[in-house]
Amino acid sequence: MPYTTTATKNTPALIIYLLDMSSSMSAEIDGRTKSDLITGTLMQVAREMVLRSMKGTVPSPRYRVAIYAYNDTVRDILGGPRPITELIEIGVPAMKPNGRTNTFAAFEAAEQLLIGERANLRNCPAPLVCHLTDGAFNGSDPIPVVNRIQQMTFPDGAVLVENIFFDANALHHPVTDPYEWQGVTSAGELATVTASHLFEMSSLIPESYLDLFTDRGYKVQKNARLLFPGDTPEMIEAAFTMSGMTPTTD
Amino acid sequence: MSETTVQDPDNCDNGRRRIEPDPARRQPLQRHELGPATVRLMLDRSSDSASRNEETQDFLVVECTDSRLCFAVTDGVGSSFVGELAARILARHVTRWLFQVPEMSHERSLSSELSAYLRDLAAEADKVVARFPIPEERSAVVVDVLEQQRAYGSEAMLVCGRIDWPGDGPARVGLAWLGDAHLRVQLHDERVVDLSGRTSDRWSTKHGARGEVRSRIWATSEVRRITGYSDGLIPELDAAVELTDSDLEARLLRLASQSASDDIALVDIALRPGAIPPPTPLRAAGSDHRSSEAEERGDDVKAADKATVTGPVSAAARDEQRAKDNGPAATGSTQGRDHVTNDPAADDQPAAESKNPSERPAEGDRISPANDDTMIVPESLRWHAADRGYAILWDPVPEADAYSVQLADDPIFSNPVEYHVAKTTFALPSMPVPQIWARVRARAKDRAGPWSEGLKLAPRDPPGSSDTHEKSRAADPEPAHSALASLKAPSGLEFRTRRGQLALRWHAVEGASGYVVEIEEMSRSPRPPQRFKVRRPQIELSLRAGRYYVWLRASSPEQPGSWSDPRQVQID
Repeated sequence: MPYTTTATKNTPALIIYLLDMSSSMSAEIDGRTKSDLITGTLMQVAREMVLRSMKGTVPSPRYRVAIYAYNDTVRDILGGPRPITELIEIGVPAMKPNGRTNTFAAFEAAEQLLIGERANLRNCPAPLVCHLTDGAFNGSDPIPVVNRIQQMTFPDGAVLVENIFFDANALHHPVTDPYEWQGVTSAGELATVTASHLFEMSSLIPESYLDLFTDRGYKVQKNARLLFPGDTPEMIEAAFTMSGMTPTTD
Repeated sequence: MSETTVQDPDNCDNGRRRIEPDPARRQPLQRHELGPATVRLMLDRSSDSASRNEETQDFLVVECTDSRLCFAVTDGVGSSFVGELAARILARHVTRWLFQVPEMSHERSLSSELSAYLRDLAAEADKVVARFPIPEERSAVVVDVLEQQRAYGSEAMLVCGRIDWPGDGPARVGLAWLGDAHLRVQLHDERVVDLSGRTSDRWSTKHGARGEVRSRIWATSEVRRITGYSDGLIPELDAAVELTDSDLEARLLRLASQSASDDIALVDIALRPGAIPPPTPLRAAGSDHRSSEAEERGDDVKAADKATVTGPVSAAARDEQRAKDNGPAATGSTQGRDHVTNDPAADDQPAAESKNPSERPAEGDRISPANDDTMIVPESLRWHAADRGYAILWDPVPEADAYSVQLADDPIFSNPVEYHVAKTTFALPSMPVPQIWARVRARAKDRAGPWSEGLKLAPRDPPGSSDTHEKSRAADPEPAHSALASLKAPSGLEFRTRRGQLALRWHAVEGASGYVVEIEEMSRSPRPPQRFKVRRPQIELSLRAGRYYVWLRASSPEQPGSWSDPRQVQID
């Protein structure tokens, strides 16, 4: 069955975060900028990954994380994929949003990383690219690159693409409680063109991920996509939590 | 394993004997004669833990007298606080508790009494957790995570049991379980019962039993063999059932060496002579040495010919029986009753189902399709400039519903990136190498055909914007790989190298008036490929030191031939 390879020290899971740091990400929600909220939540998820990596009193590097911040250009924040045990020590630097939204370039960078890392990924869980944006892209349509990434296949399965859409109006029926939300299963549930675009770019949630996500108390249903639309801290937390749901040994 | 004797130094005859392994080291498979039973025990660490010289989070304890044997196998929950802590506390205390239970008469009583004990045990264990020191060298963040875990508690899964032989009281076997450790019970009539619970159930130092403690009781005379094991054993469960000690030990060593291996704990109890495999394969004349032969082949063992091994029940048969007998858990003693069920709670849990060893794909081969050489090889693989770079395309294969595309930076595809695509065209990603090789194969459901020949692309020198083969041939009168060739590719290439010199010879091709030799250097900054035209099937070249690929093609005035497969040569 695909997506059942467990993340271990010797077969770590690779998660690539693409974070939109265009100027709109400096807008505030509840007294914090969107970019600060993202950074803070990402560190929480990193901590959760460490918790899932603990064996005795020592964290095992079961995850590798790469973070790209993008606007008109793409910046590799960590200088390549880093073990989660390193990320938790160095932290995620604060980022200053400005410029436009070159989503195409961000996914191209992710694709190049995956191609370069392919030899290291053969026995590992299928990688996941987690993209966060708050608006429409500028410039070239990223869908062809995203489709190609989703066609890239490893023994555990095709690369997964998750999209987090930081927009309160993305759904016809906005999410009030992420723990009761059942997920997005069709484009008809989405209220904006950008949200529909992101739906096309989002992979189906694997069963193994869904099982672990359900254990966390969420109720996202089978056949939902890896698409999280919403702008509340709780929704962002749910979205980032999903990105870390690779099975680990327990 | 450490062994202590309670009360008296004599073996089971008088005193109580206790066996515990050292969790800091691998404990090879051992065999003990414990009263009327023969017991095999084994404890090992995951490769992850072994590489860091850490303790296993699984544990086991066996305790016995001449008429009673108690055991526990526990599996610490890694995401809880120091899961091995709960595993050890649980195994040690439950074994002792089982020993002193007055009588096992009803399953409900056994379950409820054990559940109450686990609650009381948690109160004591929580104090141990609270006192557990966190090593000073841990970083502040890790300490913070550990304290969060400590507040959550330490947790472990449990399977346990007691076997009473005829003596002062009734002779019964009582088994209990909580969580997704496993029990396999073989009855006197060869039927097998698998018992396991939910992954979400476990014992917690904070809460006692989380989930339902379940139990089963049989008359001792009904039970032939009991195997208690943690889920790390599942990939080799059939081996544990069927193989001799020596063969099983080899398999478990190999399992433990795999990159994603888990901790393993195993207690295997034969209540009748011959219920478990012998220590070593039988060597009588004419006997079947299949177990060791199969081990050498790495095959699954078919145990039908082994007189000392009970008939194996295939995983499929277990599942079929489980589906038929999906009734409620039995109540009361099962003495005299005949039912074989699995724990119905386990049927609700995809985790338990997915761990069925016969259903688990081989490691590293999770979605590989079956190769089918009868499938047509995609033809006319070619490339052209596209909107944002280049694309390859090929002729459709009638039976295919998808295709696999591999791209590599060498012609032998030693490290390809693979794509699964639905169409007969594929837009190439940028690959920062001078040349790319591509090949395609057809797929239909779970089958995949042979790969096409590799197509070499030199993105810096595209064949033009055309996507037709004729136009690309016009742009490059001798394209690297041509689908129109009908002269055979030269074969029988032999080469000889001396310092800076390369001599090549090959078999002549019928119909050829000459040959083209292409040499390409394998280096980070290679020179452009060099081509040489010769009339005879041989050539001598002066080359700088390095590694090269060599291709050959026959040619005639009418048409070029097919390129040979590349050969690597090293020039010193």
